[in-house]
Amino acid sequence: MVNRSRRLIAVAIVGLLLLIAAACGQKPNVALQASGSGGLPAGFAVDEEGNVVNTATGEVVGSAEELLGTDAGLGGTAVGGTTTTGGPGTTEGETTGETGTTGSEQPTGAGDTTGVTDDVIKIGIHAPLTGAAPVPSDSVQKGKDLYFRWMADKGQSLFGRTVEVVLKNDQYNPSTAVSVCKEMVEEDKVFLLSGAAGTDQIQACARYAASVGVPYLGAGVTELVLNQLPNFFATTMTYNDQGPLLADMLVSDLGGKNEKNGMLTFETPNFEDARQGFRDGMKRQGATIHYERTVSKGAGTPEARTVVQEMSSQGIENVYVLTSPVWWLNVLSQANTAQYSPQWIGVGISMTFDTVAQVGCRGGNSLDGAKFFSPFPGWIDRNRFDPDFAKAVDQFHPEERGGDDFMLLSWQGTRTIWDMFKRIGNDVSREKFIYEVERMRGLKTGLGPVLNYAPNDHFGANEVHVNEARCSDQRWHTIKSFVSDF
Amino acid sequence: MRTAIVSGATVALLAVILLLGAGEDGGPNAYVVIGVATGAIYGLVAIGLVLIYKGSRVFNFAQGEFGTMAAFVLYILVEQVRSVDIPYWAAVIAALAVAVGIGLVMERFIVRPLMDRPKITLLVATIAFALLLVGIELLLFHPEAKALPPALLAQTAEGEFLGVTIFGYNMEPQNILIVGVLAALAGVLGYFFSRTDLGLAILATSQDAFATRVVGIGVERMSRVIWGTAAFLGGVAGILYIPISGALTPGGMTTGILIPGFTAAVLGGMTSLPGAFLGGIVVGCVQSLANWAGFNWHLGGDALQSIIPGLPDVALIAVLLTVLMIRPQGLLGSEA
Repeated sequence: MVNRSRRLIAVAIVGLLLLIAAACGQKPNVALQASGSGGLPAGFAVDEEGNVVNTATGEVVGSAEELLGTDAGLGGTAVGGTTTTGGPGTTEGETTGETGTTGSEQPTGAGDTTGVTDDVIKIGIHAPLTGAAPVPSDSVQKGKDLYFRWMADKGQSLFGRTVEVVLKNDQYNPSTAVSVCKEMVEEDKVFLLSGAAGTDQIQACARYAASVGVPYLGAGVTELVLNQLPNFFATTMTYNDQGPLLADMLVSDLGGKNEKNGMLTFETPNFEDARQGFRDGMKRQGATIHYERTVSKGAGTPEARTVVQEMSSQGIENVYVLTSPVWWLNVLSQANTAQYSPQWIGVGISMTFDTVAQVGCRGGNSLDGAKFFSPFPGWIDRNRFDPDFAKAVDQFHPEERGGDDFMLLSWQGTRTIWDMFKRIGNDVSREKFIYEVERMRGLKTGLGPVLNYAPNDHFGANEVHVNEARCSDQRWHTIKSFVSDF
Repeated sequence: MRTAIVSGATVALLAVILLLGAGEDGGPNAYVVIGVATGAIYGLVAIGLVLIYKGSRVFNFAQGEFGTMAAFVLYILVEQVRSVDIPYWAAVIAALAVAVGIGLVMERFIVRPLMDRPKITLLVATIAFALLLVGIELLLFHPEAKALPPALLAQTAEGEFLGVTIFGYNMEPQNILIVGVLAALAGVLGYFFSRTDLGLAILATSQDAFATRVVGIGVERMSRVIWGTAAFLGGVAGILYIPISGALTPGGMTTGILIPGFTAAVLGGMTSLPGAFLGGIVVGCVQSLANWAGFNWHLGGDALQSIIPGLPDVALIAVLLTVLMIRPQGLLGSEA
């Protein structure tokens, strides 16, 4: 009996350790290792000894061979294709280290038209319907094709085609993101892929898409690896670029130069460029970061309590936070208990959903006045930017009573895709899509930033909205729009 | 005797840490308090796990979801049902009743049919049931985060803090309630299993169901009592913890609390209810002090947290392995 019990305990402990390992989140540089792409953003370089170093701090991140691999291939073989005949190619040779992609060649021949028929273009979207940044699945389902339905109802089409959307849950997990993206490419035969939230997930899926020659449109998030993918196009400003802008706002609008400032981020290496961007911006402004803390992606209540204790005891007045929304809500809960109300600032997408304000404002006012950059305006200000959204929601989903911010984000993203297809014209192939988009300038949706791409720059956005949380109505309000400097 | 020695040693160790950090700005004092506060939550989950293990020799991976389901029911009744003003206490009773109901359903349709199968089969079945409950939560309550109000508010409408401040850490009334409930449950259940006929019958059932049946004890009834009580304890953990965790999400108790709860149960000894209490406190303190050390201790100019990612988890595993190597039955564990 004793041995049997111990065997059971041993089995349970092994299971427990596996669960802990899974819950620990990514360890440093896993994403780079996984990428195998050779992609390095600005601010990182390979030194003479073959190490990847942070050029600003001189810190060695790891060996280039270990992090980037020596046989990484980004491109090439399209799967599920129907008429792959040439095109721009997506081989490693086309990338040029730190400077990013050099652009694709003019497509010749029919190209890969997977997902495109005479009357339908099929696209795939992945989103965290569950996990640490859950979005309302009902809203996502209703918002995913709202713009396309609205246009169809107005008699508009993409040269006789409508758009069909396949939506899958990436569970806020990079492995799952790759898995569902693969499904959408290989089984659903989508033409392109898109992701709106979740840095690690976007990077993982975009890299997979690059390996099979599928265009990918996603939020800017990190530049690590993504700046080397010939198929990736950012539709929002990257966290790295937003860092200096955030520092400018902190100093010029919020008086952060003479105050105690903190930075609280998740441990994922994909946030390193975001951290560095903020550090650089603060240094340029002559401001100091007095408290810098990274926590595991699997962080829970103990970590939330710890960081609040540390920041409040050190008198930190402004905090740049870059974590998952759910964990930040835990931090806010502890901050409310500790009666600690710093000026919260940050960048991101899912942080400025109204659900965060609704939950975060319960039990205290720590969140009140938080100012975050966002690629989309607050839902409450929607009519200032695009009155058609409210009309479309009323027409197709009156039960939603005006919809919500995730429907608004979906509307913005799908409108961008529509406008891209409209500019490309009737003959669409994956190769032509990539070639044309990387030459698009002045792509304006009215909601999000104006997009200006170039063959060597697939990060086309340099504007953000500034959204402010107000606990009086538990919503985010847009206080500045299309900001590119302070 | 052993319980007193181990508990005394743990308390003495924490007292030494408190004394060493006394008066030191940024010292570990507040982190011991944070550890105790958080550890009480782990202990609450661990007690439910130990109860089932004592009663049926099964590791119940669905224990966390009894709590999440109860919290969702409480949320619906308190926040969503506007037509009837349901008192909080009544909503709590309803939520706990739902949790107990789920526990009894699980016992009847999952546990009992698999009772004679290898325990590993039952263990996997509990994982499957946990996933089923998460799926049901997603379906019924949707994935977006929700705010569940606590039984005891942390501050007045004017913003005055209502809890206690210990070494600079504000412990909210809800957390004080958790510590109290945990201590009471550990004591009551410890007494129940060692001094009452029903408690002894449950232990006898777990050791030899056939022999127990021969002497006239209803094994099925004992099983119902065990799983119903464990589900009740899981429900209590959920409705006490989730309001202070910041957000209510599907699977929240499993992803946030079950792992440290299991660690606490194993550390304390899978058969000891006071051990679960103690294990929870130890786990909470180890995590909290590791968080403190990771930020305040440096090696070659770098903070420990940047050298060892996930330091609290590493420290916890190190403590767990050390204890199990020295005392495989856990701090206070023994056979039955």
